[in-house]
Amino acid sequence: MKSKLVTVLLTLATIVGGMALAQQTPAPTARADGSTGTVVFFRAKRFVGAVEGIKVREGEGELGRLKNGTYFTIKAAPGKHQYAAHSLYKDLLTLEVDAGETYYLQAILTVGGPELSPSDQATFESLKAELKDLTGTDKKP
Amino acid sequence: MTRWSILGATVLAVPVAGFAQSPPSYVLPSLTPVALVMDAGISSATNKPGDRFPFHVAEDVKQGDLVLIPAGSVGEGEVVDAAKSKFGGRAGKLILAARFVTVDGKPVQLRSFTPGSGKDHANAAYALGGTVSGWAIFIHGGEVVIPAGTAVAAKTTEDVELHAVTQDPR
Repeated sequence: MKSKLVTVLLTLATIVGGMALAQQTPAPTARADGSTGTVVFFRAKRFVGAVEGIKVREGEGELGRLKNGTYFTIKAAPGKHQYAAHSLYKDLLTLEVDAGETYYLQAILTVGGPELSPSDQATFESLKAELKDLTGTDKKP
Repeated sequence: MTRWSILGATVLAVPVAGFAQSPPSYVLPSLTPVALVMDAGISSATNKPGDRFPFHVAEDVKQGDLVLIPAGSVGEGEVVDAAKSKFGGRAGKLILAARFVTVDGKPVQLRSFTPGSGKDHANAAYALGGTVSGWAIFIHGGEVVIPAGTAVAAKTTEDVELHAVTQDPR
């Protein structure tokens, strides 16, 4: 009887410990040691379409959500990636990521729907002061 | 001369002749910048993903005084993404990649395609879009147009063994 109780307690301790460990372990992300590239998605503050959010996806996975005047950064494995900007319609962009490089993609809401376009560091830096960094925040508010 | 001495002379002569015919090779490290010039025009209105385009090396790539990739070497890039401008204010977009440059009959793989000379773009993304300030000069009627003769740059993908073509005369 006593040995059964010990076994049950040990099992419970293992399960609880495992759950705690699972909660502490961060979600798998690409390493930031130069073996990956960095992609910065940003959306400048604009009056047109200000209230509408733009979801950024790769395949079925949502990478983030760009509100007006925000940006977020992801690490991407080298190779081809197809990103999609979604609101009412969607716009696709294929990017070839090289390790150690940084890419800037700008999301804009136009009359024709969301647009995801390649941009550059200078454009991003000129806007950065008025953009809110959403990197690592909850992607689905 | 005996048969053995003839054999000995032959064995000694072969490596010398071998060295004389193949010049020593040098390792060009990965991520070496290569300045390029576009040899064909590319447009978001007419080009499609998968299209290949030619370029050539603008300046000798050297290791010390040795030229490992001579100016004028030809290579190829590829259109990764292209989209025409659309109704509603959507600008055209164009994303390009450098693939290789041929040196001494051998392809040297390239990556990190970027505008400019490459010397001042150590951390630059390659990006050619309708909303890009740095590329605004290439936007015509909402389309991204990169004319032949445009200076671009890339980097070598991996360490590559090359023969010195010439010694820098300067």
